[in-house]
Amino acid sequence: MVLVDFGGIEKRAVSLDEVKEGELVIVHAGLVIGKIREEDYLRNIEEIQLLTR
Amino acid sequence: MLGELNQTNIVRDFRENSEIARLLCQKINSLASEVGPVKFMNFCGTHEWTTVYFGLRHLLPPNIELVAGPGCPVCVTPSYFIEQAIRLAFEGFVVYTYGDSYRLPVLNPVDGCRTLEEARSRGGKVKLVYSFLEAVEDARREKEKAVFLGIGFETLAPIYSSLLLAGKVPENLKLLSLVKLTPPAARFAIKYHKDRGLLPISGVIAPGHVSTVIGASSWEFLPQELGLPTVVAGFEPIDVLAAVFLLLKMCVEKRPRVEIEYKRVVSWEGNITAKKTIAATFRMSESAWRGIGIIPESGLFLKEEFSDFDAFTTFNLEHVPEAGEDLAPGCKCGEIMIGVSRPTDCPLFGKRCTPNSPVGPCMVSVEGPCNIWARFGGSDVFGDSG
Repeated sequence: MVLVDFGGIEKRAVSLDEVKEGELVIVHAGLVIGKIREEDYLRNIEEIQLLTR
Repeated sequence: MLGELNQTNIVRDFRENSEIARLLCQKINSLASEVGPVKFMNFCGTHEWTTVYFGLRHLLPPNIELVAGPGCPVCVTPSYFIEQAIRLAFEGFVVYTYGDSYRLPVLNPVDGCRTLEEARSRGGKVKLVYSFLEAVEDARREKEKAVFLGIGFETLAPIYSSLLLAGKVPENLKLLSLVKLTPPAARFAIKYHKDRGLLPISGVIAPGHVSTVIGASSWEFLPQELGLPTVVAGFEPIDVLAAVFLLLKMCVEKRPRVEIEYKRVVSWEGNITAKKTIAATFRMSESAWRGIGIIPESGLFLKEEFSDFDAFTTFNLEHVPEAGEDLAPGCKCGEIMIGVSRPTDCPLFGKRCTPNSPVGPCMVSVEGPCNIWARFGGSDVFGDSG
């Protein structure tokens, strides 16, 4: 069980995988379904930038 | 554009970056001249929301059609199950439901009630919850006989399965698993368009969060068996525009495959732990989709070993209710959910059927195409008056 901050509103959620404090997570109806890692985020941005060239 | 990872910057980078949006639109418009009419279908209400809210159809050339497929689980839950829930609410069972199912209208009113909202107003025991976890905790605390309306797609199955496997669900709470699976629905919808001689689906915008659970690999059948380009997309407008561009590129190259646009969240294999808990708890079987019909292998039901928690067993409910008329007369939600009609094609849209007073299921949920079009004006790009 983890406590998730939704921009000021906190709710408990079930997490099947380990989540560390401060990590950005995707929550769907009370379940953490994924995490956003910085390297994946930056790669996503970079690849979209490449599409525009 | 590169920045520190936080919610504000995600909005900045994937929503507000008008320069990237403009460049993507330029690329799309340039590439679109190399193809004839193409039809890309999404399978997530949130993709339709993004498309309408940010006016993405206005930005695309006329030969690219974006169509909403069956991406709203509330919209496709048969009336039978809501009718049974209303009945149970009046028989002394606490019925836990998500907010968007609360106003879902049934075909056959129960004790004069069309919705769980009406049932509650007349003394039925209905409780709104944010999550299955909340229902579990409330049921454990209150110790009343209860049932949880488990409406949802694959994104919701893991919370049901994990709490059951962990022994957290109290014996007084039964789960009515109404979980539906998106890939079989996609196969069904694509075949439906083809069989009726409509412009075939040329590509698929696959749902981002369902794919977070099941993995992008679950969509491989689309390019491999059906030759369809497929992009797993995120939910910001730049995600959707990027997905459209990637689909077009695959159409031009004639090299269909699955691409992940939503790389910050989705992996090829998905959430392995979630998939394992689902496999341990549920079995797959055919299920009824409201207004559409029965789709093979498209529903998740609890395995025999969980029958003590299974509402189907406890209340002797039909797993696959009769797939007859499940919509009010004149309602076109079925055709809208399968993408062969638009909300504005429905004679009830914006007249008898509105977000405040819904007749059809697609007008109820924030992921329903009719609700989205009614609130954000999805029709004007087609020159409709609706």
